[in-house]
Amino acid sequence: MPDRERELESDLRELGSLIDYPPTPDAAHAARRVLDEEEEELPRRFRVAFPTLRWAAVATAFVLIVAVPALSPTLRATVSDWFVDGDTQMAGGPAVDGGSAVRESEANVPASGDSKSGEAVTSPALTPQFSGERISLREARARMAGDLLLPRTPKLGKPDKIYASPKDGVVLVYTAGLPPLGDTGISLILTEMPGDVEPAYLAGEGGVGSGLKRVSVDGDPGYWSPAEHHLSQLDRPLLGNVLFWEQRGVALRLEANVQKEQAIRIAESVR
Amino acid sequence: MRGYQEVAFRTAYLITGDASEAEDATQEAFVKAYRALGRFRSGAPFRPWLLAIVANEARNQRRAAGRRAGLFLRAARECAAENSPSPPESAILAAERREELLEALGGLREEARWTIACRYFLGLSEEETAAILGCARGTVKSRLSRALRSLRTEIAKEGDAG
Repeated sequence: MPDRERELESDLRELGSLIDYPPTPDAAHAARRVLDEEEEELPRRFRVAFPTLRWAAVATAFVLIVAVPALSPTLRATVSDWFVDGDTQMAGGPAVDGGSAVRESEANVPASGDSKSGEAVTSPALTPQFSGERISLREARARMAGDLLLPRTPKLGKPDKIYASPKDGVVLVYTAGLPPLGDTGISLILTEMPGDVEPAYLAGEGGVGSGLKRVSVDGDPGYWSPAEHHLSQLDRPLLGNVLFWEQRGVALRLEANVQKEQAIRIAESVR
Repeated sequence: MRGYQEVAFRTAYLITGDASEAEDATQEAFVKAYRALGRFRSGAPFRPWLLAIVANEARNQRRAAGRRAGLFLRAARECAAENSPSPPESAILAAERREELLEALGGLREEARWTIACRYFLGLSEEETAAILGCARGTVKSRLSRALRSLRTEIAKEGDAG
């Protein structure tokens, strides 16, 4: 090989060696997790193949919708409490408390600036209150009739907590992989409700032009709103930027401290 | 799969030009590879087969993001400027040489650029390069030879212009 050619190859190798690659993520582990989740889903698919449970679900829905009004007021109130938690949830919000994020030690700490000693009072941690019942991943799948959708973004991992929400929805809470939402320690909140986005989350909002921006999520329409925009129909002030979209008949709401493009990328990984 | 994830991720990174997309592409490729293991020809080398899946996923990600090809040149240009190991007295000359090389690479067809990137930037074998480019192993040798010839022509053009 002529020297000139060897020199060119050596220069190319040197150039390649100077590329500063980002740290290699543990994609093998993340892939394993996705495959494990699929394996977990197999027994569920088996159950769905047999319609008995579906009929049981229809029968239960019938009892709740038609028969509940005939129940005694006390019992009716109890049953209603399972599904409705105050007026905010009547508006279709997720099972995050309508009182919004509350200050953890509100009763004991004076409001900011109220310190009698004149010292600065730091804000205690914001803790969103999830009023729905804590449920397992398996229960969440059953609740969504097999249509539970999960982000496949490796760094998020599995949801750390899952709550039941009204209207047969679920709230998935993640704590890893993204900058935290304020000082909650939560990285992402994904709310899922059967149905369309507008009635589920945006009833009464002015739509595009009122602060909501129309976006495309994998070719389907969605809405984006920065955290500072006030959405009157939501159950609480936003802790982060929010993306609404619909997928396979499920209305989704993703809340995270990320920019629009990254939120859409996460949304497009949901399946 | 762990033993392959660095080369897989770097391949995806050079194709997508974005760490997050490269991560997604690598993960998705690993999942697809696992599902397709039944179709993997017993006795064949595993790494080229896996890298072909990774490259395919990364190209899909890049297309979905609406990015153009050849992003690795940008990555190389940015990093080369920062990571030069040359001593100060020869730093300017070395930087000029690298810049000249990058300009010349930019003037090549995508196929030629990728053949060079696979062999010299990623350090892949001919078989692995063939798997990523979707061609026969023997074709890599001739493509590489042509690519280097074109590169020299581009460098000479720049020299004449300078």
